Amino acid sequence: MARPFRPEVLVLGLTLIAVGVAWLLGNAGRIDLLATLRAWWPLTLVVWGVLELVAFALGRDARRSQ
Amino acid sequence: MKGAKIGLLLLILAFGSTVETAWRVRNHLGARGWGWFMMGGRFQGPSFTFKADQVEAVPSDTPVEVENAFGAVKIVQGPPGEVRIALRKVVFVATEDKARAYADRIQVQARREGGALRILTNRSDLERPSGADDEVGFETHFDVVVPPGTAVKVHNEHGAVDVADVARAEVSGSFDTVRVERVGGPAEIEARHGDVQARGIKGDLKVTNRHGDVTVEDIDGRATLDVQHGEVSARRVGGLLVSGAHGDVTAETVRGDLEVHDQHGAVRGIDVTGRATVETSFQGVTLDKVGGDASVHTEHGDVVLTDVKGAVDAQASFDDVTLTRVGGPVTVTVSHGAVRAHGLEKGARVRASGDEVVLDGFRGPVEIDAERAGVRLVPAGAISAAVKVTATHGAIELDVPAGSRIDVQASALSGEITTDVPGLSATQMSPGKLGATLGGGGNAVVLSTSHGDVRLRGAAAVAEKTP
Repeated sequence: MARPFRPEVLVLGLTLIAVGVAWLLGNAGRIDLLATLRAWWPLTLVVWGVLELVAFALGRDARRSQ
Repeated sequence: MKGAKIGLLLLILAFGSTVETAWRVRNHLGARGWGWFMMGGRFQGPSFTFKADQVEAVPSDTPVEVENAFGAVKIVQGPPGEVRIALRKVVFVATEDKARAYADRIQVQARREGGALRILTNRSDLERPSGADDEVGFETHFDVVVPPGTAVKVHNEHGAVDVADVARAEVSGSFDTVRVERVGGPAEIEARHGDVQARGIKGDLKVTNRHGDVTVEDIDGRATLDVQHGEVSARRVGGLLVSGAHGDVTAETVRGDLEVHDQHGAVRGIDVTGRATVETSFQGVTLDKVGGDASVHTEHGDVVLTDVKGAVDAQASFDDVTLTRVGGPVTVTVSHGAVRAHGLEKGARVRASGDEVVLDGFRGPVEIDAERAGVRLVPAGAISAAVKVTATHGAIELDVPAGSRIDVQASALSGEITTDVPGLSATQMSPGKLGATLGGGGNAVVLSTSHGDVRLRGAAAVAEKTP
């Protein structure tokens, strides 16, 4: 039986990856870490919201097909 | 909503709040004013370096003045008739194109002012608030080559200064090391938050420093150092005056007088040809090989003086005074500490309390006032001058070598008087009192103590106990 799609897990994973990459680039002197995080952190909420909608749509289709 | 979703939401919001707070702190609490590297700011991230050179023809003996900030200044000697200026510009922006465009705006300004060549940059114009470029940080590093015999003046903030082979130097710097070497005349250095090093100065040297160590070597003239919160090390100087606090002072080979006014710092002087005057507190003073008089005053610290040719005046508290081989008369005042001396050639006046007084191998008159302390005296030879000792709550012991010519008046309140000096004839004897003569008399020996014994020891007893 396939596991249900859980957006929060995907959000947590993507956020960790994004923060890690940003930190790495900051340490390498390629970006201003604080300015970058300050500009882009609300995107986490946007992505999560989108994924919640996707999860809702997928769940509705699954219920109809049953 | 599940608990995991609520937890993650709170985590993200907390993260965002932290980032926002950090951003506001960095941009609104004045990170630029906190220091060069503090919290990054303008001097963090990618940087690009550009160079600019120019040559200025100057008449001989033209003084050179360099004014700079956020970068090093180095001045060395070169060929006559010209001043070579090399400026290294380091610009902190994200791309090389932007950095180059900004670096092109950084200009060297070489002006003739009052017969001197004044070298600086247009930093003040660039840093004037104008909008987008306010956050651009840049360093300017000067390498200046001056003709032989040039007098130089340098004012630098937030950067190292290195000056060598000039006629005279006047340097001020901050937040980095100031180094001045091989100056043909006098030098004057003022620094903050950085170490100062001066070597090979033919004239007088004056240094003022706050929060940094000072090292001076091979100064032909007199060195005057005002140092707060830093260690002082001086070697081979023609006279030394140190005023300071919260730092130790070490002086070796001073060809002249040594004068130190310190607080909360230990003082150590070795091989001073002239007079040594030292005062400090909460640390000790050690002087070795002083050609003139030595005057030492410390609170809560010990005093150790060795091989002083002149007179000694030592004052200390809560620690001991130790003297070895002093050529002149000695005056010692110590409270809550001992006095131990060996080889005093011209006698001593001692006021002490709290611990023993021992004079071993002394000559000349001795006057001792001791409270809560015993006194032990061992002359270097036959007693030939007056000896007066007053003690409370302590015993008095005097060795009497053969050949001494003394008139003894001894008293011991609440104590005993004992003597085994051969040839000592008593003229008056009662409980606690003794009057006696040795060798026909001539030198008064007055020994008085309360709550202690008095003992006179003869040559045989001395030889027995001190072989």
